[in-house]
Amino acid sequence: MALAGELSGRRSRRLERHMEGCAGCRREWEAYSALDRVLGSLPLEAALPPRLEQVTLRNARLAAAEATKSRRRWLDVAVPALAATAVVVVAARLSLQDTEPVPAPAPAAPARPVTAPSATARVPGRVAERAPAPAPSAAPASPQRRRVVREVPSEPPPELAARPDLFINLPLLRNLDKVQHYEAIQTIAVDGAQSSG
Amino acid sequence: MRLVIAMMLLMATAAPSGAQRFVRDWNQLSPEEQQRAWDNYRRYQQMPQQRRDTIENRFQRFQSMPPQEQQRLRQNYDMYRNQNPAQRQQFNEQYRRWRSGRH
Repeated sequence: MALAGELSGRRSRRLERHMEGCAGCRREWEAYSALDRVLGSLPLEAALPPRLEQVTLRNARLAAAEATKSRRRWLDVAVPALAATAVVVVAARLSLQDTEPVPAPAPAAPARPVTAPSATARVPGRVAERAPAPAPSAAPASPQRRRVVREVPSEPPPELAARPDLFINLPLLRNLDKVQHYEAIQTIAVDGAQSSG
Repeated sequence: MRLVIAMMLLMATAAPSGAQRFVRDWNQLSPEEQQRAWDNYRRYQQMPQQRRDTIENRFQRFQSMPPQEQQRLRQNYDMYRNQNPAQRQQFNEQYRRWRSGRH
């Protein structure tokens, strides 16, 4: 405050009187006074190079553009990837529906009327719906499923013609172990509980 | 001697192998069965050879079973097929444990 001249006259005089008899405070005063002079000689505003503002602004614009570009680059990758994934999932789903072995009909259910091959069933690529069961009480609990009906060749391959029962029973054969030991498997406890089934 | 021959003939005619008894010709199948066989044949063709060999062995085993056993397996398969997803999941878990305990 004394260096800035903010002390009152009375206090300023007291300070001067003290420093006349105190060498330490006098040295301290002289040091602060020298520092104050040096600082006072510095300009209040530094002179900046004229291109600095332009360069800084340009760099800021470039940085902003790069950030936007990287976001767009991520979107450019992510959006097609998501779209491709969706297409693959739908295609896989359709493929699974299409390639699931056609199970043999349940013998307990009343036999569906075997009609002559209709035009609908023989058109390749047509989607046909399974005929509903005639009686609700005898109908199996499985939901109605749609499958793509393919044209059966008039002349089946020799392997198919020789043993059609193998292919009719293919789903059963794939699960032969399970159906052969069906009752025993159902007695196996799961999570510590004995199965009732 | 005649009795023995008669009994042998009777046994030979009364107990033919299952494979001979249930072989059907393609033309004996209904159109729906032909369609199902054709669909499954195409899937069979896409299986690896090892899997096809397994199916082949199982088919031979199945064909050699008595008709009552075949009927039992068909009924079990229908029950298995008609399970809802939760029942199927539980059954598969039971099967996994049963199999691990067997081997």
